[in-house]
Amino acid sequence: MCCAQAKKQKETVAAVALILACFLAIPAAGQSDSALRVTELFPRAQSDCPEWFEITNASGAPLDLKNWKYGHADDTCLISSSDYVLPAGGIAVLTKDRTLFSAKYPAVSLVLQPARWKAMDNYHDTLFFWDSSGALRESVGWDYRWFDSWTNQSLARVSLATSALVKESWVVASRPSPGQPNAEATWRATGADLDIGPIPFTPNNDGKDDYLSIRISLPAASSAVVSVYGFDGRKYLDLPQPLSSQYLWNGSLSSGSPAPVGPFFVVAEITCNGTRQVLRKKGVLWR
Amino acid sequence: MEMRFTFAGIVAAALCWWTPASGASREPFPLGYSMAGSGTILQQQGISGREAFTPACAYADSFRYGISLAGVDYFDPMDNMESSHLAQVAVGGMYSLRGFTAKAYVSHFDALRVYFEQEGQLSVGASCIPFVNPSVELCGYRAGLYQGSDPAQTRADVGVSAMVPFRYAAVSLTCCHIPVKNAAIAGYDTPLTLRAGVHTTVNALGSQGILCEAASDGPWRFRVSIGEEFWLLRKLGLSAAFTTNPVIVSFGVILAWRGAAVSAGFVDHPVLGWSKGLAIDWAGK
Repeated sequence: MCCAQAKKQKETVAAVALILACFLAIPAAGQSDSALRVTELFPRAQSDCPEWFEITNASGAPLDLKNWKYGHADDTCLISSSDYVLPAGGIAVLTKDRTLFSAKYPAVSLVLQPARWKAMDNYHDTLFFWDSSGALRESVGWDYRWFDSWTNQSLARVSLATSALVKESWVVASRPSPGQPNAEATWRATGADLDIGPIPFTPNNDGKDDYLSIRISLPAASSAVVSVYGFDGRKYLDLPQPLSSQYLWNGSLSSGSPAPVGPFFVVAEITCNGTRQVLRKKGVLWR
Repeated sequence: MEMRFTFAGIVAAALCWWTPASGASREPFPLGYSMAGSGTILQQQGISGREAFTPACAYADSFRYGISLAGVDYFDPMDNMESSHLAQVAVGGMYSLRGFTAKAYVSHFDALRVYFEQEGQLSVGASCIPFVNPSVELCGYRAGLYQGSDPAQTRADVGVSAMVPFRYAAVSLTCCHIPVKNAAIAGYDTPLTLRAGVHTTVNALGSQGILCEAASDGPWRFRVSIGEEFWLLRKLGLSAAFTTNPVIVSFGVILAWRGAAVSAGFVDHPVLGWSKGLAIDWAGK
């Protein structure tokens, strides 16, 4: 009971913080020089990977992060006390433990470890970013209830045009990409679409048309289940979650046995803001 | 008469083996008159008994011969290749003499004008044996792509069926798709299937049937169908059925006059949508 009360109280505080953040974000959104954007988050630290978040300089000019701060209004952390220039379009990662992070992602070059780390909540949190003059430049929030299948993946921002405080801006990343542009931004910021090919596809290991490409585009705030059905009406398999933009099917059932030849169907059941949309494509398998 | 029977048998066998063979080998529901009732309505003195697409053991009536035509358009058009369909047509005949019945049919299944399956079946049965009417089914199949260098595949299987008629109902037993010739590629086979059903004769509530099916599709897969057919008028009947695994609901309308019948069937799959079928049966003496 005590835990439940504490959790409820925590959720209430988070909700209030989000509402306040929305109000605070309104003036920030109107500032054209607001170049810094948080583009990926990893609050659910693992034993081999510390908490981190990714920032992007969305402007056309270099951005010096000296004396920038992030955190809550009553608990801020200095990002850098010295000059740290993020080039135009540059992407950097801030992490709690630079050594551990670099061991996990050695290819990421711009990694910054603040002197003090403001811990990120695993379920819901809001972070604010102030420039060296104390002006609010970015606000970011997340809530586990926004996602159906969030376990320990990173959250990728799919749109810089929308506020980072709303669920429409975030998706569970199919794979983390710190220091890199988010792959999800190209397929999770558009309307729903499903495309398959080739037709027919022939998984007979002859090097030609051995895989069926299933390509998916989804609105950011949506969740989807993509399945393959056989001509006999049975479901052959569900594509693994979280979805990625492209899946290659080798013509096997979920049991590993070869799927029957003949017609099959790829069906995407998409749920977005309470509405359900079904996309269905038909294909032919032959060996 | 013996000569005519032999000739009919040869013609049926020729239709079965010499035509470029096989229908949709994993079709989710039967075609023809049986589509609306999912095969649950089976009467030896009814349309289902003389239909060319049911085993010969299902027939014990006074008609000497008959022909059947059927077509099915499978599922909704969906969101790609909307003008290309999954469709099947079948034509068959029935010939009965002195308690022996032969049925044969051929079918052609087309998927998106890319892929085809063809099937021929010959079924020979007897209704002159006391208590049980047996039949044997020989099936040949052929499938492939219309274009490309991959050769079409052929295979063949046999099945045995039996009808045990009682006063108010009949019991049907089928073991089908026992392989005789396997295809050279994986995935082009129809699993061994066992089927058992109870089918009532016409009663005050119409006709009812229940069909249980087990297919050795990796682990055994079980399906159950229940159906009802009710004649509003002497010439107008309605039929409906419910099938599990996958869940499909079917219904249809039948117009019958003497030995002729026209039936329209509709089957709904919750995800894949509606299938539409039409069947024409005619039998003479």
